[in-house]
Amino acid sequence: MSEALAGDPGVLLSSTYLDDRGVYDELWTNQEGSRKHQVRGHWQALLSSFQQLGGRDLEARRQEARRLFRENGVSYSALADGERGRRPWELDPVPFLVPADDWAKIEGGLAQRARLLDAILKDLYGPRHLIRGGMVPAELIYRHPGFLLQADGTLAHEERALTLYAADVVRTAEGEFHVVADRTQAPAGAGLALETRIACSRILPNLIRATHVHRLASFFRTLRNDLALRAPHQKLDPRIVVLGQGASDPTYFDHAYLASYLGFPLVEGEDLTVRESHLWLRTIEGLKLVDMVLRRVPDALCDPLELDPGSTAGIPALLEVMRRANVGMVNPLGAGILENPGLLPYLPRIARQFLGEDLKLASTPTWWCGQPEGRAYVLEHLDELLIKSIERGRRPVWGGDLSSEELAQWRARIERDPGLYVGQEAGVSATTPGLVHGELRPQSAVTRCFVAAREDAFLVMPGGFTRVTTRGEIAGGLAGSLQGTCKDTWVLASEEEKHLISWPAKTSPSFVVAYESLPSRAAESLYWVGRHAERAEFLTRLARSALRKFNESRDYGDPADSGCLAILLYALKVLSTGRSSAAPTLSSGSEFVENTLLETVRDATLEGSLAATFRALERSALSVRDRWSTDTWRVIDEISETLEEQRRLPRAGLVALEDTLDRLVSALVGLTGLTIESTTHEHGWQFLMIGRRMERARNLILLMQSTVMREAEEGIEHQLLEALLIANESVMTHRRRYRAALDIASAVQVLLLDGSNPRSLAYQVTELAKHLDALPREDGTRRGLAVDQRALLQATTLVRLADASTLLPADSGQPHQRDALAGFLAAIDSELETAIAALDQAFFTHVQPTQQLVAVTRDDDGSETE
Amino acid sequence: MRYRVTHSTHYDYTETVTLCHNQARLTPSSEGRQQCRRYLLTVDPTPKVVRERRDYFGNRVTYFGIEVPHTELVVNMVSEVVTEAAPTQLQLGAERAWEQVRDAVLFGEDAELRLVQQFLCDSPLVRTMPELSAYALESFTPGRGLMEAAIDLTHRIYTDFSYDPTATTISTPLDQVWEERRGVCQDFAQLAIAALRGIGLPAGYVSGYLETLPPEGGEKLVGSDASHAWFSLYLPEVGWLEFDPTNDQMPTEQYIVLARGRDYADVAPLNGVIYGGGPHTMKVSVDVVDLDGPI
Repeated sequence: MSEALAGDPGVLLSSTYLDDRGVYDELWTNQEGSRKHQVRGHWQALLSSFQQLGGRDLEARRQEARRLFRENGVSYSALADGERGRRPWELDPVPFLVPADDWAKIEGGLAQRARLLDAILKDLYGPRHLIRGGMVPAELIYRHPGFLLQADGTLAHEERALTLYAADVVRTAEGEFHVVADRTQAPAGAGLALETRIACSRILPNLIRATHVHRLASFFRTLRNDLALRAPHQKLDPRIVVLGQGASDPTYFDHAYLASYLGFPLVEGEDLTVRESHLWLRTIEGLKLVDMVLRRVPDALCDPLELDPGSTAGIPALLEVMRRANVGMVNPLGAGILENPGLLPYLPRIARQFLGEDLKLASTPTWWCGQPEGRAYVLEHLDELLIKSIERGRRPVWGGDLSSEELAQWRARIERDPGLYVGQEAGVSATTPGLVHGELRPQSAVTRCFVAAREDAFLVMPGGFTRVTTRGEIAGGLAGSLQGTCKDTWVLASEEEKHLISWPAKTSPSFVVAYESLPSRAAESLYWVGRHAERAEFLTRLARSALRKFNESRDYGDPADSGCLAILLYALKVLSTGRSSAAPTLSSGSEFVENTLLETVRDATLEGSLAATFRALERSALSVRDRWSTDTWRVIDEISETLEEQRRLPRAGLVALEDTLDRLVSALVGLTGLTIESTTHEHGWQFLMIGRRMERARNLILLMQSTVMREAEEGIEHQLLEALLIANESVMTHRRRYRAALDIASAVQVLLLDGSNPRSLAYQVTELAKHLDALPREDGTRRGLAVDQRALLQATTLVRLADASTLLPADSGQPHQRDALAGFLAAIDSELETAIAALDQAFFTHVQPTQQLVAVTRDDDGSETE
Repeated sequence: MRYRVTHSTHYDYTETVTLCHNQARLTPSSEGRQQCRRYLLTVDPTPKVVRERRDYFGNRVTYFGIEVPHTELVVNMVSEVVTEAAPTQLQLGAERAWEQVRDAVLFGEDAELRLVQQFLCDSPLVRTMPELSAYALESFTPGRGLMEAAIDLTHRIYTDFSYDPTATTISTPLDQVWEERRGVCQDFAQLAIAALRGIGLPAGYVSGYLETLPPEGGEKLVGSDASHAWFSLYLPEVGWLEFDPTNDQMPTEQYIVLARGRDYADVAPLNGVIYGGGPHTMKVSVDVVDLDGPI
């Protein structure tokens, strides 16, 4: 096979791939003394498969992966760069291969390194032998912002303090593996590793199986079980939450995905509170004890009482709970000290001291300038090193990029405060094949590996998250740059392991279904998803009715058409803005109509427009990202794409608009179906449905209020009623009941009073009452009905007692005014409003804003003793 | 001397506070020349949880959480402290040249010296500045004895800076204090600390009280005493020497130590996070009474 390749390098490999670059390449090797290229054994089968597929097919698969990532929201910047600024990861279908013998080295090295870092962490927050004994310079620890004096002594009760650890690993030009950086506070990327694998097994289903790649699922299963075992309170079913920073976090996708994969609720600081030295989750059923936190919030932001007082992402007094060992924290606060790159040069010595072992996996050579020898080396080799601050969050600088003037400035900076800097080697690294424009080219890569603590050992995830990088980025690790192109990491099974790896036909995350009290914030978000989704659908249907009417009015020139159209446009305005604007004008030109329709559909800056409503829907959905299936997310993505396309057409005209509206209706109906049919009927579902029914009921009322409160001229009224029935998907129902006899009484009957029509007001209030009854109530039912239940009982009764003939008396006082109907609608609306306020009060988050209390005890009342 | 210290803090909120978490560093320390005989912390409303611990620096910290709705919070600490005058003789080695002390700490060969190196590093509120290091060097001339130089620095801060409670707040950065040459005891202590760390000497922050004497012929007002602050300087084999640049002296038996740390941020007497509360006002009163003095 290698012969064939050497004879025909033109297949897939770029023309320069086989040039000798003097660095280790993952794909081929140059046998000693031979000029022949030899494809490495573990690459042979895969390469020939790729060659058979060909560059064009591989590119097609990359497209497929791009689509999968986009649909699943695999992005690295959820809401940054403006609302639509999510940039999805790119997946290179060509994986990063790690043969079994190399993996054994990495695995053993990382397990040892985790053990070592764990020991260092416990020492630094305990006896501090490292500092006392001079093994680590005091300055390196004490000046690092990751060393939290407040956390001193909090780890004493931990068997293993470092529970989830990540390391960025690269292969050097010589072929050795090095650790570039350690991530210990709240390592990101495990969710991405999973999603990458799932996408990869979709686009290369047979290859991944045939190549005998280690699976990832068991690592996460173990992680989940071990977290449960290690939680304090010795409970059978401990409550474990993932603490995130909300949808604006650049790595939101990653932890939302991890949370749903592990089956832990994804919460934010506001969802948690400390009482009686325990940590509690605010749920619709009251406060529930939290046993363990898997956090994605950096150390310093976790406790505004003792750490950064400006933080809103944390929970006041969290450290106090930790001190009492009343909650398990992954990782413990203070773990950020281990990310200090200045520690790297000391690790070999500490390993010998603490473990009595040599460090198996080397770090990238690093010099801390706080030591005279380190400083001398760095200053001398500044133009070949990466200059990094020991504090996280500052961008590393590659000395090779600097002018002599800049180098001099850096020298001065280092000499002024040497302890702040390290120099790190960032030489050429090994290359691995990557797909670029349909051919394989040599690229550099860095792999983030994950290690989880078990009771007796550390377990390394057989895989990782590999990123294609440039030299500067490699040296900088993934910090702050979790973006770009990624690859799946294929850890190959050894001969003995091959039969152990069984691949199920389909890889899908195994969602753990367990009963969990619904966090109040999630309840609120779900309620709003229901409301926004319904509102979007209602507006879309109404806009479509208006558009059709507009087309008819142009086609037939019937004045009744334009009269009806004016009223429909008016209703559309009222419904979208929620305000009654000027009365309908009959003499609107077609340009006015077009503009009104277009802006109502696609102008996201217009409050209440369809586009704005959809954004609100997206935002609510995103904040409970962990609760949606992939299919649901795909539909949401489809809707935003549809709107995006529509927006891109400058003057689309109305033909494209009708098509857009048709597609939106289908997608929104699909969303409804998915949320109703694919969500278990727990409390979350009830809130979703309450939102939906509430919105539909109120929209229906508003629609009637803005269209039929005044009797119109007969021709117009008939058309209008028909349009209302169509917009409410009730025209068939009406036809079955009343044949052709359409008048206001029959329309009111079908749209408002007919309890068997799922689009009617009667149906909405009846269903609402049922959903409200299903919610958990603090005092059970002993106290009788809650305010919201009472309001709905009123509304239901009003509707059931109503009768079209009383609502529309033949002889009303005011000619052409339908006062009785108006009164009826207003009465129901007011009950619904009462119920909304009561629900909000009873179930949603009402976290009071926190503020810092400082006792200003300066000597400002004059303590001078003279 | 035997003192009773009463330190009360009173918060008045405009809206209800439903939950609050606080930590107090209000217990005088027992160390060296000072013994805290007894103390009593009372909080109203009654906290659900009260817990005392030692922080990293050995200060007593009391955490308390109040879980009942309230619109007022009163934190009252009463303690009885016995103090002795600091030893007057120049401590052994205090006349050592300051450079020797600097090098002894920097190349510290035992555990204590290595841990003391912490006080050479920048801390949350104190960052070294070239201007301040230069200012220190005017007192720390080559070969000068450590004690003498430190007394001189204390004196210069006292003369060069004016005491002005309106000039700064807790969050006023050091460079502004330096620019404007005015501030209060916290500022002067932190300024000295930055100056000393800048030339390689380990310096720390001390918070506490100072008994104020009534004006000649006048009567002492209750509550007129206040929190005070000064700085300390480490001398190997001896320990921490203290200096008060606000009053140009070394602490006497009228000084009561509350807590020690790297700067004010480590020793704030009382801080907390409240849920709700709205705008609020706060009153602090400190009273130091000489229990053996004339009544």
